[in-house]
Amino acid sequence: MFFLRQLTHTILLHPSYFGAQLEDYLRQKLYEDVEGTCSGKYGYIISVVTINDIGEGKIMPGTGQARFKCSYTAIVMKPFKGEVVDGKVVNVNKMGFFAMVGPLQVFVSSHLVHADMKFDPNASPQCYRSNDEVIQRDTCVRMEIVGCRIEANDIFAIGTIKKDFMGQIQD
Amino acid sequence: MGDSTPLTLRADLPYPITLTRLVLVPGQPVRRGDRLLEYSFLSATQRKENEAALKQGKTVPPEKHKNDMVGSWESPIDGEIVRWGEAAKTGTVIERRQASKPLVWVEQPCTHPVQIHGMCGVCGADLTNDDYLSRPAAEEPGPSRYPGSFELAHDALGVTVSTNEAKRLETLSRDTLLSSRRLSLIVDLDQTIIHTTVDPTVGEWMNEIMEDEEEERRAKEEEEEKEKKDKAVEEGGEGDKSAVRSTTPPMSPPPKREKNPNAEALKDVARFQLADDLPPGAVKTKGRRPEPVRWYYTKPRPGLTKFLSSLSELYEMHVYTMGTRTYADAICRVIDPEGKIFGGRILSRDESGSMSSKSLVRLFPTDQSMVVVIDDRSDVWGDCPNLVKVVPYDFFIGIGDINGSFLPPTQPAVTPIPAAAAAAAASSPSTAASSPGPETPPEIPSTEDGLLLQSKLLDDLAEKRPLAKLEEETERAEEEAESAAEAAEAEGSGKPEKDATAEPQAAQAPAAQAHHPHPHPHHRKQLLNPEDHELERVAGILREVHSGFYKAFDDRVPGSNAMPLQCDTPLLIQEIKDQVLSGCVIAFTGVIPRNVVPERSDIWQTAESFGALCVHELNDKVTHLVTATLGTEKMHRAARMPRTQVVWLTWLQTSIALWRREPEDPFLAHRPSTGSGSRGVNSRADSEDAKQAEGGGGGGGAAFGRAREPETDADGDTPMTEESGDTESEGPVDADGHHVSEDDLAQDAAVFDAAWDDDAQAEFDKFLEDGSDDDDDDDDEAHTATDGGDNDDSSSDDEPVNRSRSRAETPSVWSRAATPGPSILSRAGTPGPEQDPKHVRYADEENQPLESVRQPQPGDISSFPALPPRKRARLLLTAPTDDDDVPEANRMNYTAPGSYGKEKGEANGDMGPETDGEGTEGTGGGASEAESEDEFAQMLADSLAEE
Repeated sequence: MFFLRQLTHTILLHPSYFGAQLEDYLRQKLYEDVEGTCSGKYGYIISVVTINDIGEGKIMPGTGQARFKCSYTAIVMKPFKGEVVDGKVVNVNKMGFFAMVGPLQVFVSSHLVHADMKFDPNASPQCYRSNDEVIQRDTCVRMEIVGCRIEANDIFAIGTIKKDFMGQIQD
Repeated sequence: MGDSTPLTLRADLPYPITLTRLVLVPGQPVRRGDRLLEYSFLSATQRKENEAALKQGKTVPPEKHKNDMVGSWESPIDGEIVRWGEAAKTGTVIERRQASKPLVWVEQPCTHPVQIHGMCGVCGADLTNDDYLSRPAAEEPGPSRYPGSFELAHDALGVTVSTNEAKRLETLSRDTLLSSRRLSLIVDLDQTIIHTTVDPTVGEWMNEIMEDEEEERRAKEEEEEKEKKDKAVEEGGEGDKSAVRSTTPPMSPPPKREKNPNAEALKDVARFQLADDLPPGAVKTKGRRPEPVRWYYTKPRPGLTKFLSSLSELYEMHVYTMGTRTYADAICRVIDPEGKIFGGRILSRDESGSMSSKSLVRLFPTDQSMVVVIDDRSDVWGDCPNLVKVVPYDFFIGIGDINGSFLPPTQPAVTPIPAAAAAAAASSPSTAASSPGPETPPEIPSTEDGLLLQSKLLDDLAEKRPLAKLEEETERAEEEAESAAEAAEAEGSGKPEKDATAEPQAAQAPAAQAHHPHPHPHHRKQLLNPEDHELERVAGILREVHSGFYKAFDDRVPGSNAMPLQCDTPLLIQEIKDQVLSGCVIAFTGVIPRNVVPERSDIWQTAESFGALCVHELNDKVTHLVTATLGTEKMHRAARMPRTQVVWLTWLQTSIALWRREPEDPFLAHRPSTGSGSRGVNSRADSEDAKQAEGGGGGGGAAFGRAREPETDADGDTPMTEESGDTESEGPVDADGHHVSEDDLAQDAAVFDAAWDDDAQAEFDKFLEDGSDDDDDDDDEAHTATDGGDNDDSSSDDEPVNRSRSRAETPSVWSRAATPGPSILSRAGTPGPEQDPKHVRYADEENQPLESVRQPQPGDISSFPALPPRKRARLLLTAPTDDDDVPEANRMNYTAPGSYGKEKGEANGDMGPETDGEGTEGTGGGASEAESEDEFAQMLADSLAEE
């Protein structure tokens, strides 16, 4: 699920950057530092929407570096158990398949695909196949998240397509 | 869901315990950490007290024997109690040995058969609880921390499965394979189906070839353009449409430089870079990615496409490599661009969990009866019965396995054919370059060292450019040989046939051009050999295994579910192996060291695994006596046995490597009783050898290589006397580093005389006639021999002696054609008619320094590697002493007026290291040395004065 959240980030700036371009540099550094990262607490930081305040720099004694506490608003994505997500299959094997939901990797075990779907190792590429559906690499699938494991800097999820209206998205 | 899970008591409870209460009854739900039962036990302190009392002879009151502590056993899993075991009754005493019996059965809602990242893949439950309840499971061996789980998938995605699930999946895949009538084939990459190098020389050559082609194409276009114009002119303007086709083949103008002779071999070499292949020390930084520095060049083994496409119908192909994931992916993009053959079934070092060994269990945890493995190394697989060993593919000479730095270097003893030995020498980092001081220890590196070491090795490789070096050396040798030939011609004694032998390579190389009118002073040699037939052989074996398997499968009892016993690839492979040497009764002599139990030696066991019967002693039944040396007692006895053939060890090794009983004839070791005959041949061969040496430029290394190799003489005789000559004379030389000992020489001379007959005399006379130019050649030969080598003046000391005495060579260079079967005997670069003995020489000399390097003596400057090689080589040409068996012609030319007497005078005395290597130019070299020393001293004095 996506959220708009106000977050802060501390930037340490080397004195060689102090100058007219300082603010530009800070903005750029903020984007570089936070976009695309993942924190267990907030989820994946997809994009910084606005930078609310870059704060006043404070020179650190000893190093001469300036510390800026920036506050910004960002779109974050955090998966939850029970959430239905759309993803793209990246890897199929006999134990199940992996799909990417944006930055999040979801594993769907072969136990959690429809009973009539069988793994076909001889197909190229390998796929899960039923009468009307094929799940192979690059297929778009809709799945429900069964569980998430959230670590400090990473999130993994388990999904299922063994429910109504789940599975390959045909359009 | 699923059947119930049996739970056993933990091993670390204070046994013996007495059950006091079962807390839960069947049907009750249980949660992780809930109390299942309570027990009581005797505390350790009480027990110690009791024991102490008993020791002192006191009686212990019975109440002290009673359990004085209580504990409880908690469930490690969630679920519902199904039933208690029979032993689970109040009052039961459970000893430690009984603890492994299941006590209670619990039905879990999810047995977590699939796990990923510490999470159940089915219910999403978190399985990483690391508390006291999971402790015993965490200590269990296995790739995963979960009880009974296996890592099954190819990729490092971290999916593990439980034993039951693994069995289920295996049954599934077995059914799939059976229904499509296929088996599984695990393929190794490096040196099995491809060969990869990082040598930039290859890239330069490829660029060169590309430019040449481009030029040719442009020339062709121009030609066509011209043709078109001409026609257009002829046909008067209306020829625009009709003049498209030209009738005469366009003549390409002569290229400015000589075409790269390796064009044919390098045609299908692919190059790629790896994204994660960063220069050592570079840190992956965000935003700015350092450019990958290294280009990889990969040569698919000849016939690979056919091999893969035809066998993918019979086998499901898997890749299992010691390379990294990115490397494996890159290779698969090269050999299987559509992904049809391997289809993501790739297992690399990153996932396999081991840097030095491969395991079938990793891919096929429960059932290996339908798997065949092909690999060039058997040691990484341990004793895997599914392995079909292939002969390593060594296309880029001197590279070896770029991903093999974690492995111990291949033992040359396994396949001491020159090719393999050279490859092995090259693959071990210490000998990768012929520098005398090995910087890296040859022992197996640890994992973290290994990564660094590999990176370093690759850098070294890229820097040292073994190929460029090889080419250069070949050219130099060739130049010298040529100049010698020209000199000989100028003298007017050169024969036409000599010319032909002088440049066998130029004549045979595909890109050969007429050699004499050529404007270039030298010809570029084809170093890389595109020929290789190993895959065809392997494909044959694999087809046989496949047909054997499915024949047995088709013959199975109809209706019965069980697989027939014959449906087992290890069994089938063993059967094929058994036929190779079946009926051979083999005895060894000089092969197995004395300190090894013969039955346990590798060669014994390998021979037996190929169906031979090995015996200790010679008897009537022995069909083959396998020997590594000449003149053993067993050989003498075998010579009198009509049934016994005396063969070189190479016969056995070749047969084993090729899985086919080789004909013995080319490998026959000459029998001692026929010694005089072959001696005659040898001496006659001397002259031819001298001629040939000039053509091949083959130096000591070649001689060394050939000496190890049984050769077919023109007469069908197998002269092997050189071996004995070498072994006899080399030992003392290495030991004292000076000269061949007198005794040996005398002995050899005696043998030589005994073998001297009319035939030999005729040859000798003929030889004397050509003497004047021949010894020039010999001279050059000795140069090249020592150029490539290191400061082994000891070995070169005896080289001329040996060579002139007992080399036995046929005019034709030993080649694949001489022995039947695919070329495993020649290194990749050298089979076939275009074989170049120089390569052999180069490679084998790589092998030599380790044996013949000696500690430099204080005054031993002349042997220092820093000296220019040419000068050093000159110095190494010692004048023979009176005791040496040097033909008269040679002697005259070798002995420079000044040094001959000197040498003669000092030959018997204690020779100083300075005179040791002194030859015709010895004084000159010494003088320059002294000068340079003076110079240095002068500089030192100057600098001191300035201060």
